[in-house]
Amino acid sequence: MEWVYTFAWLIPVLPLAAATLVGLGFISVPEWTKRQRLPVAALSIGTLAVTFVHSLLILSQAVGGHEAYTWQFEWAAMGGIVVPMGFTVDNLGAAMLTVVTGVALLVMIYSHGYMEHDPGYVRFFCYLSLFSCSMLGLVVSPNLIQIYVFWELVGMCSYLLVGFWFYKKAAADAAQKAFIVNRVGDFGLLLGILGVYSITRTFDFPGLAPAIQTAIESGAVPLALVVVYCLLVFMGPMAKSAQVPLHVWLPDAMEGPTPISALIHAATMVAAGVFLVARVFPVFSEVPGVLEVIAWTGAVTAFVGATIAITQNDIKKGLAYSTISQLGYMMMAMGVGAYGAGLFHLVTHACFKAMLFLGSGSVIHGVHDNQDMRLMGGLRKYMPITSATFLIGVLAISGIPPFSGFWSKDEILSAAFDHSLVLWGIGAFTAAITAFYMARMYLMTFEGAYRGENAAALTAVRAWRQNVDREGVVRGFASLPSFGPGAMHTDELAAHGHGEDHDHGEEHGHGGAPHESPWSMTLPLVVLAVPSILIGFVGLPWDNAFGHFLEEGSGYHGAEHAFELGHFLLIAGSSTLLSVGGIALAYYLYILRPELPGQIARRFEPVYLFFINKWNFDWLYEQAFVKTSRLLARGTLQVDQKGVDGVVNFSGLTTLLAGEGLKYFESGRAQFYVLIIFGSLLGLVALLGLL
Amino acid sequence: MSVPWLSLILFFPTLGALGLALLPGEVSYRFARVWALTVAGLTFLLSGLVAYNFDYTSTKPQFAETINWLPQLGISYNIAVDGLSLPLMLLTGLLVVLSILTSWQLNKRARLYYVLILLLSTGVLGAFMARDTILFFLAYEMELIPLYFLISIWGGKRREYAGTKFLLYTFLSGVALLVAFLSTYFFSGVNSFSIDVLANPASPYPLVFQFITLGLITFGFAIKMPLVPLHTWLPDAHVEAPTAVSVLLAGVLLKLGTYGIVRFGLGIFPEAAAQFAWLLSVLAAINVVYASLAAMAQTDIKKMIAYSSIAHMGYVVLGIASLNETGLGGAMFQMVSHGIISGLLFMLVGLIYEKAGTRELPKLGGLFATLPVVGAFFVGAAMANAGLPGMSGFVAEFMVFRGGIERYPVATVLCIFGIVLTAIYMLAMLARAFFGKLPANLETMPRVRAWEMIPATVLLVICVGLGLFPTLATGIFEPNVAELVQQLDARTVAQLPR
Repeated sequence: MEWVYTFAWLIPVLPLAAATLVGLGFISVPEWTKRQRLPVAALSIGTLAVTFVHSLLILSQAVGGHEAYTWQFEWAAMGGIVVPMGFTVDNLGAAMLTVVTGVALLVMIYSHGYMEHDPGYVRFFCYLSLFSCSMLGLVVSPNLIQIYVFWELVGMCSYLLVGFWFYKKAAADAAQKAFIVNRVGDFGLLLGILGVYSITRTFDFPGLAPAIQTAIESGAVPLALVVVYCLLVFMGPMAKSAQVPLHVWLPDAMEGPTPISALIHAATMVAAGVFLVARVFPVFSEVPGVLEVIAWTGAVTAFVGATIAITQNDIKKGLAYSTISQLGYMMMAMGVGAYGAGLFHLVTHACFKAMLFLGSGSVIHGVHDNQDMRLMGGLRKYMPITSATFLIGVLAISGIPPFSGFWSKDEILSAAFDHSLVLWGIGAFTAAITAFYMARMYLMTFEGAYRGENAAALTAVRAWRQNVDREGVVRGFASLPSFGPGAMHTDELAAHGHGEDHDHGEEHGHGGAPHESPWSMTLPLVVLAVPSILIGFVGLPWDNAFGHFLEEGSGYHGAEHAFELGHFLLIAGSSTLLSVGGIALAYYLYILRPELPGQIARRFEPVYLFFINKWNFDWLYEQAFVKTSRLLARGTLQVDQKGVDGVVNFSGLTTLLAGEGLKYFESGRAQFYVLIIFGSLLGLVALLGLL
Repeated sequence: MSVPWLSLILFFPTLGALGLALLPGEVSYRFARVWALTVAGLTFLLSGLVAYNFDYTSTKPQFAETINWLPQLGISYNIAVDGLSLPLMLLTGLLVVLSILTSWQLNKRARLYYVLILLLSTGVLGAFMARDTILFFLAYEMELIPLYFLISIWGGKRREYAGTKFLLYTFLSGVALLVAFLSTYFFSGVNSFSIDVLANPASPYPLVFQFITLGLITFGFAIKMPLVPLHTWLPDAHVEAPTAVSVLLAGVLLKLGTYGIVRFGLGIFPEAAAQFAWLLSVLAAINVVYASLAAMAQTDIKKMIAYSSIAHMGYVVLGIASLNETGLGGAMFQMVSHGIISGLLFMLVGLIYEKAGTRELPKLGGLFATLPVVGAFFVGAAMANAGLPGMSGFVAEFMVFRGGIERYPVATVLCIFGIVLTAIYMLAMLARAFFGKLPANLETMPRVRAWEMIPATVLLVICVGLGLFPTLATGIFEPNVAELVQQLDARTVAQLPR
């Protein structure tokens, strides 16, 4: 079975071939290509199914103890610098490949149903294939340059897919924001790569850590510089995995079609940051302080994301903040040295979060393109499969045993507990909040009575819109829907019908009663439910198969924790208790006493406003960066148009020719021109002569 | 004597232009464009032939032709190509062909238009081939005249203003160069203007003299590139010029500036260059940041692209300033890549203007609905411009950054920040032009026909090709860059012992 390794390059190449084929069709015969819905879907799904099987074969070989396989060639060389490209498959890669191809395959099948009525159906599949290629290429990257290449490519695919409904202004803005925030991270990443290379003289992952270690030990490079380089590298994952303070793009990215939110913005691309940290983990763990920064960034992100998620009423936005929060857990795990635990959570999260997102898409589809949970409710009766799988997802993410999220979260919390009580405290408290807001989400959506055609609810939601100002900031609230606090983004609130995806309230009277989604959408939900329940058992605290699998492959051995029953019961027991408490509280507030949440929000108005305004990050960035850069740009233009005044003194000559001054010299008298030129030249020569 | 291949390439367009000009009677634009395309196509083919027979392991000037022209003055007709000029020669040949295709529909005084385009290509090719400073100067000045007329006759509303501004600036640049070349000639005392002779003087030029002449050369070429603050002629020229002329202007003419600094500045005055280089890195960083910021504030897409083109020339300068193989190689790569990407961007802007009748962002929007293919290409070009991997810009910029970071960390960091700025203004432009709602008055705009996309497709394919297989380009100039750096190191070490 050696060929499954030697031919692993096929895994990214096959989806690329599919994307290229469709892309060429689009360029040469666009109208015809647009009509080839089934063939294109079959091609995309087919190629991905093949890569999924291939990945499974690799995984089975890897589990059987196959060595890591790397193949590289010299891609570019200049002046003694050789940039290799190629592919590498080790145990970490094998696990990631399986997750990515599996989720991508299911999302594609799901998209066949979800995008059925969309005129951009074929384009959507083309982008999906392109994304799959980029993401898989990232996973098999054997060196920093190649991972940067694919890192940027997934960013571009994300841009294309978030902006898929190009006629929606909100989508265009979100796509742009996502790309630019990621660019800021990539700025750091690229600098970091260059910096690291200046020490290591290699881009290959295995060579990095030893070279850094040697450099530190020999004192060739100041330690502070190494720390700076590592933190610069970490800026990349910070943006891609939506860590505070570069998380602001992810919630907005929900403007993209829901399958995209599930695949890119929950399961795979956003996890790439965690994956990169895992790849360079041996380096980071050499350098003191770096892991500490990562751990705290993760913890803060987990907490911030969760607190904002409580206040969200848009089902996708809620899930987006939940994703941010969960990515924070993964980063925290990396930071406290629990490499295996972070990746384990990555895998379990990919399963249950993809399922939750696809479930939300099914709900949105079922209630005719509404995303506001205040206008849902009672959907369990209409959508039994969706609601059952969603419930599984909620229990998994809340960390209720024996669902998968319990095991991975427990492993993280246990590692955090050993590292720092404060980090553990944040993690455990966030777990309680997580259980609360996820239960709230489930209860608002699926339990109680259906409010989509309830006039009072519609009026209340409409009244709520008055609270949100033009900048998307909630200044205060005059009226509050009785069934729970919350607000959404102004763009969505202000305009109806700026897109098919969300038309709120008014329209769905025409759509009729909610309905369950077609099989192509429910099947992926059911399939994903299986690992969401069971996959935790590969990483049991007393028999951590997943952890051993990763460590065997990486050559990195984390601190071995002997299993202690007491320790386990303490951590797991407390977090389970907290989660159950969170769920119970949600049940109390949203089912038993639905009038309470509004009153609580009013009682603690400043806190509530702080959370619902997303800790004011967007507002702050708008003030600090967007406005400043606009001002700076306009200022530059002013300077430019007025004849680059500042620099004119330096050259002593442009003054006469630049900008507005020029027109006075179009006198047509050639002698005058020559005089000026000659005089200036003399001056210049004199000036240079003085130097 | 063997076939004078380079002279053929050089003068074939001139002959074609003369022929077209002298044809008796009325010449329809259909005939003129086919004529021009044939001439340009054959010229490009000949360049391809030269490239095919080029020895990529040698650093020597190849296909050299020398005729003693004015032996009393030491001026010779001396042309050749080496690894530094060959890629730019090929780029010129290609872009001339594509720019003729871009102006396929032009019928205002078409005969003169194509005559000028062909003359322009002779000028540019001559400058890249010249191995004699005076010959270079003549070619450099010769290219100026057709371009002036191309802008002043076929330009937009303020074409005369822009044309004159361009003429004055470039003239000034020429004067500075002439002074530098003449003084080098007198100082060297070898009675030769040959670059190869001047580059290896019997006794090295005194450092002060080097500083002055290198200063003049840098000043002259800085206008051409252009470097801030000598750049303001370029946005005006671009805005007024027709699409094809913008493509040539950004694609190849600006490269004369950076090529000139490498060829004459580093080649003849390495000692001064080594001391001067830090200043270039400062100018490069200013260029990138300043022009990017100015681009952000533009509402005319073409002006934005013009500023973006200025900003991206800054990467070439940073690469040159680094004085090492990776950086200089990156500078060479960026010259080619910039030619392709900015050419592509100007073509696409031209299509938008042609179809929508405006380039003003506030009047545009939702163009994906009417120009989907242009939109897709524009996304690709914008990404390429922002240094997205998989396309040529990334390779070039990465090499430049790698070359610069250790010598000039601050300037390089600022330049890297330029890729963030590029992403900001390119995406903001895409968002305003292609996303959102289509203005009602644009719903009936004409669509793009498939053949109109041919030039852009060629450039996009090359852009991706070089991005995926960078050795295609690096293989051409690597030996020469290596040699140049060796010389720099040897001369500077010998001259300036530390």
